Amino acid sequence: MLYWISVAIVVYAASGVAAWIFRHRPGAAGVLGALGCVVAGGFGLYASALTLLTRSIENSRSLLNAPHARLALGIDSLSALFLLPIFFVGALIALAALRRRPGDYALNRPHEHWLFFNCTLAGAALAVVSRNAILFLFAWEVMTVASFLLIENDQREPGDHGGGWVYLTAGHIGAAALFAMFALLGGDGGVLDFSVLQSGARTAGPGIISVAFVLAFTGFGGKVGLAPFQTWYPEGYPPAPAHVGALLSGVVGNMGIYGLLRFLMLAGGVRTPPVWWGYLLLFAGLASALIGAVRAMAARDLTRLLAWSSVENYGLMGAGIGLGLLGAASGNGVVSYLGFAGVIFHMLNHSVSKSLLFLSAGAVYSRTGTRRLDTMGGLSKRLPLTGLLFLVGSLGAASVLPLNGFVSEFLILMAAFNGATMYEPASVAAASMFVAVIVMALVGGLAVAAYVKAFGFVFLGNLRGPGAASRAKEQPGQLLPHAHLAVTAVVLAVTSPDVLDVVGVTTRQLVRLWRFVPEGADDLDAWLASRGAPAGDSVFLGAWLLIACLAFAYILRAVLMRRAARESGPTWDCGYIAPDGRMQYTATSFTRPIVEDFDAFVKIEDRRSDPQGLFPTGASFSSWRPGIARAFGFSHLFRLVGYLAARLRILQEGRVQLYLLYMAAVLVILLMWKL
Amino acid sequence: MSQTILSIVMFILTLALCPLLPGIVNRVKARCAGRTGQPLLQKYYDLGKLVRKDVVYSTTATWIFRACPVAVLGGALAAALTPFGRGGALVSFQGDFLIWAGALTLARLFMILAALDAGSAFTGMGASREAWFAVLAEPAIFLAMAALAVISHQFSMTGFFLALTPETTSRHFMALLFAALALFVVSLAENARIPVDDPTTHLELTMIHEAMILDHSGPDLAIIEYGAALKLWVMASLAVGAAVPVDIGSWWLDAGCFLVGLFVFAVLLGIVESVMARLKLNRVPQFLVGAAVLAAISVILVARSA
Repeated sequence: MLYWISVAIVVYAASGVAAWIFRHRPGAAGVLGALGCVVAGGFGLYASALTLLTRSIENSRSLLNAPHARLALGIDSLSALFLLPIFFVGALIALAALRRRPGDYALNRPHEHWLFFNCTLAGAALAVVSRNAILFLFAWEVMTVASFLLIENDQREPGDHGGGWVYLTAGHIGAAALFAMFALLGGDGGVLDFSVLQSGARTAGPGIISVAFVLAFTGFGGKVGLAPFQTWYPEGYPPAPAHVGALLSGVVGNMGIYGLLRFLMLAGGVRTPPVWWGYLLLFAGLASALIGAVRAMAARDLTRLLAWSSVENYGLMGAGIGLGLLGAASGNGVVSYLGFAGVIFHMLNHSVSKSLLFLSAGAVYSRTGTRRLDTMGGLSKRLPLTGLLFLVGSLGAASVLPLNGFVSEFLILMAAFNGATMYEPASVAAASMFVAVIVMALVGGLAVAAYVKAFGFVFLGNLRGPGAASRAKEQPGQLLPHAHLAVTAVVLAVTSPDVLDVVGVTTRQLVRLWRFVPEGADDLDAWLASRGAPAGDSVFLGAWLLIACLAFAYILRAVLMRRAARESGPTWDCGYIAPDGRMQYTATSFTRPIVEDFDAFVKIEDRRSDPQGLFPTGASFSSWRPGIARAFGFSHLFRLVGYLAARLRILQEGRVQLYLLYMAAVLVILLMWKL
Repeated sequence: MSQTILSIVMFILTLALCPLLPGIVNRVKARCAGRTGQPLLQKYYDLGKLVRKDVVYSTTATWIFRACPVAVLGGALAAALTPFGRGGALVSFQGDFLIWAGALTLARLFMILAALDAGSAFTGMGASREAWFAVLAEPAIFLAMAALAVISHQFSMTGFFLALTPETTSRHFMALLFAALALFVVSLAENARIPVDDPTTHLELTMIHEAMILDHSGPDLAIIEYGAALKLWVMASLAVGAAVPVDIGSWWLDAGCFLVGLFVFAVLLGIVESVMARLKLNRVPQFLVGAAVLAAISVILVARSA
């Protein structure tokens, strides 16, 4: 398996470079880049699917050795699960980015775009299979820097650069934490292989491990925007083209969740995890889910809405890991199992649904040239297929019942419900579970409102602003990659028990890390069932029940409508005879009352001049919604980092002699220290 | 008779009797106002009339608008399939209460989308408010469910209510009462009743549910109206199940008590509607948060007495 994964990574890198070599022929560069993604995706999918189905674990012998570093690769179910979105979603995003007609929306400098795009995928895939800390950090850096360059490569407006730089700075603050984390776990041992780290963690004191956990939380949690880092990434998305957003949200973001789970496998299994690990992840996850949902609901820019919704979904995953850890800390296998299973399943669902949404938003943007929700409307008449695909993505991402997102959110919610009943009543643990239930209920409602807004105000009603008129009809052929994602979302929902089986392998590994499953209970499933854990079948049954009821309602309506004559006329507008698209509710007005209730997270600033006098000549009203956390949270930190980085530039003089002096000085210091 | 057949009987009764609840509410309201009021079966007449009518579709509307009745009825039916009370559910499985909530969410989502699809300011306004109140009602429902789950140590609707033996009931009496109260308050909001929404005004600006369905007509409207009645029944039976955990032993007597409980619920609704005015809109969130607080009190009481 590893052989094919390595081939896939090489193909990514090679095709990226090839695209760059053909920089004078943009068409060829695009084809090469996308073709590389598809070919690599094919190899990689084959290998990771086989790994999952055969439940095999494979570790390579090292090919290259360097001090502390080895080219050590390995693949297990956890890696394979996170490779799936990289290879599958990555290839479809590449195809969607490629299939653009002239005049639609041209990429800036396509050769550089494809180089960075493929390097991002290569870095992500390499990070998932690397089994050495240095190699992992290398891959992580490649991924971070390449995705930053990908964002920066396609800047259209001068104000856009801020988002990309925030992305880069945040990425490196996170990476710094990861460096420290691996250094701590590695101790003074030589090679920083994961197996060495694992045995190092076994002997390290609990304090060291906990510090490492906080560092991992910063590095990996920051990657997915767990609170208090939730402002780090959403600002990076809006300036980038939509398919880059799809890549960041559907592929790169997952790496944070992977990192957290891998950290648990490396360092967590030593002893029962401290309870506060669970609480930290649970409450950070819940906080970012809530903030992400509110901000998504309040967003007025389609891409920003999707980006904040990613914060929400990753927050739910963080909370799920927290529930899994809490279950582990208290010896509650059911809570642990449901939490971890929900997280991994949700990662798959979110990758598929969110990249579908970003790509569909890109299709809308390439037709309308705007992302502002307040100017759009009625697009499903011109772009019916895009609308349908967007709806499928929305239902999945908002976790609405018959579609995929609901299944995984169901598992995480059931973890909280199970915890609420199983823990000692009136204990902190039980109270936290109730809080989790409340917040997740709130988040669910907010997410539905956000996606109702996204779909309803882009695709339904009438056009609101002059700028957003669709310039051309959609070409169904261009939506083929999107359609594949939509079908995948449906398949994930329809085959949820099977997906749960596959996810269950890794989940069981995670649950068994802490050996609290009683002796003799070799069949974890039976043990879980005896403890009242819902099997995957239950939500599956529920979804089919709903579908059957919908089918019944459909038939009933068809029967009732058989005799009825159908007429068409204007929408009832209270007798007013000249309705206008601008009289409709807008996305801003739709969410205004909800935003007012959540003004702890989003402020509303209005500027109005009322009509004056008996014969008013003019009046105006404008309203906008700056976020709060960014305003006072990290701008100072980021400014400080920028300031320090600028100071450090005096080291970089540009004179070779000086650099040689540095080397000599370091060498002398090291010799003096060691001898 | 086997349990399944009894459950099917209960399900058919649900489908047949649910339009009766709005009739009872209206009758009580009329009596309180000193009028004779509509016949009890008025909703059936209305539905019959609507079914025989033709349909007008707005030129703005798309397939979403036509899909709305299907989703509303389908969601309400799925919610009604996992019913409660002593009758036992037709279908019962681990976590079915989340499926129940999910089915109603799907129905509401399509209702809101159809309102936006019509493209009028009134339907948009109704949609906005519906989404707003739904966000705030959700935590109260889930907390009440959590209280029931903790009392019963079960994760299905049937489990919740079958666990309410006389001992459990007497021990958790106050908790159950608060949970039922929370569910009652939520069902006022979810079913567009006073003090959250006023279904009887003739001004689109003051309505929520009625404003959203302004543009539906004919059989489509009939299906939506029926779906709304079914949803009222379903939510009422949840509150009644928590408040009236009768366990006589005979299925027929239990079912009878359950039905009587539902009719009492409708009478209570009518009384509330008669003695209260609609709240100012910006008061409604407080009302709904109040429901969540009631549910939270229920949870705390469970934790204290367990």
